[in-house]
Amino acid sequence: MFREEYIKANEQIKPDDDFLKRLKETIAKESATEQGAIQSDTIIHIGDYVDLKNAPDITNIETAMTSLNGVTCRRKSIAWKKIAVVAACFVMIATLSFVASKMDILNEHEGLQAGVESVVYDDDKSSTNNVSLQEQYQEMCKLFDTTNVVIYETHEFQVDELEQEYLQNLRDNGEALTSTDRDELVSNILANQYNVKDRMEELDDAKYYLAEFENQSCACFAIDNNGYIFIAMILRN
Amino acid sequence: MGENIGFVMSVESAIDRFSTDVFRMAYARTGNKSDAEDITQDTFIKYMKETKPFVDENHVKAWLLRVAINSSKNLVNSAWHRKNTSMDAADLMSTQIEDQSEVYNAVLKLPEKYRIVVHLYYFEGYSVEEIAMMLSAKESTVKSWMRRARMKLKDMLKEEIDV
Repeated sequence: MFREEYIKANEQIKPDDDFLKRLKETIAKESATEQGAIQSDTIIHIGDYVDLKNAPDITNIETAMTSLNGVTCRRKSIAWKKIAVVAACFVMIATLSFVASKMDILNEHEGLQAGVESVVYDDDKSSTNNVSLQEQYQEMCKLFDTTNVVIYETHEFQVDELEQEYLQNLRDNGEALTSTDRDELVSNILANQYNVKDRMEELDDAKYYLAEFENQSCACFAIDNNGYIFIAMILRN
Repeated sequence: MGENIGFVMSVESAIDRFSTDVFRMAYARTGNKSDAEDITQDTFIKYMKETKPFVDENHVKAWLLRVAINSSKNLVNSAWHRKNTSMDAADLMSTQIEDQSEVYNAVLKLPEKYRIVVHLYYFEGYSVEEIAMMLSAKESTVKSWMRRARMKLKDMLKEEIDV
């Protein structure tokens, strides 16, 4: 009797909708502050896809790059902010060049679904994996209505001295990674720690980039032919 | 993400899924809506910053409730809160409680540590063992709190409390 009445009384106690709305806004702002990023209303997890193809104009690409810029500045260090901005601009220019060169491919797709199918169904992965990608896509669809995005760091990877040297070499050699670089990066650093390896291997035609975002740390991301940015990982030593 | 890195739930999903539970826990602890909101917000900010992997959804919920309990302890014990509560929150609390049931009012009149175990046991459905783990207390201690809480509730409500 007591239990039933106590449960019944508790069920009447709920947070206000206004409070929940404010709470989500506060969390988004805190997340942005935490990473030194601009105010954002959307969070992208590492491993998410960002659909550039759906962008009504170039703004979405800038938005995606801004999100990387957000990561670069997360420690709020002025010096590194400057470096980060330069790195982000460098990455943005490279990305825009790449995207521009692929515009014909992008234009061939009619609507979002075409792009999704090319990612989801043009491989030999299991149906389970396809569902997972489809779900990823559904999540990403929700992001399209937003104007600002920020990467939420769910996982970071410790990098030892040799790997650090390897990453430094990669950075020194330019902005785009070859597929060999990518494979070596995956095998050397990720080992079997993280299923991002599978995701990266699905993006056979993608270009891979390494963006320095903080002292001795970097973000790796890919842009595939369908205009998706795949936020692969953030490495930190 | 991968199996080897545990269960990942975005903050937004966690809010959608567990904010009411966290709020109720905080409210049961403080009996005050604005304090419960502060604690709920604080709890989810901590969740956002938490980097350790979780096992599953239940683990996330248990973690959130534990953090809410600790946050409410910190809030209730803070000098600022003690000072301000003494001035006007008593009236505020009584106003909020008026619309609630006799049973809920009786629980809110229990000492704070008893409220927590009663809420976790009777509403959330955790076992004594699970509550002991959540509160980092011995099972015998939790049982003792439960026994005393039931006795007090029995006196207030003039009825037996089911175990």
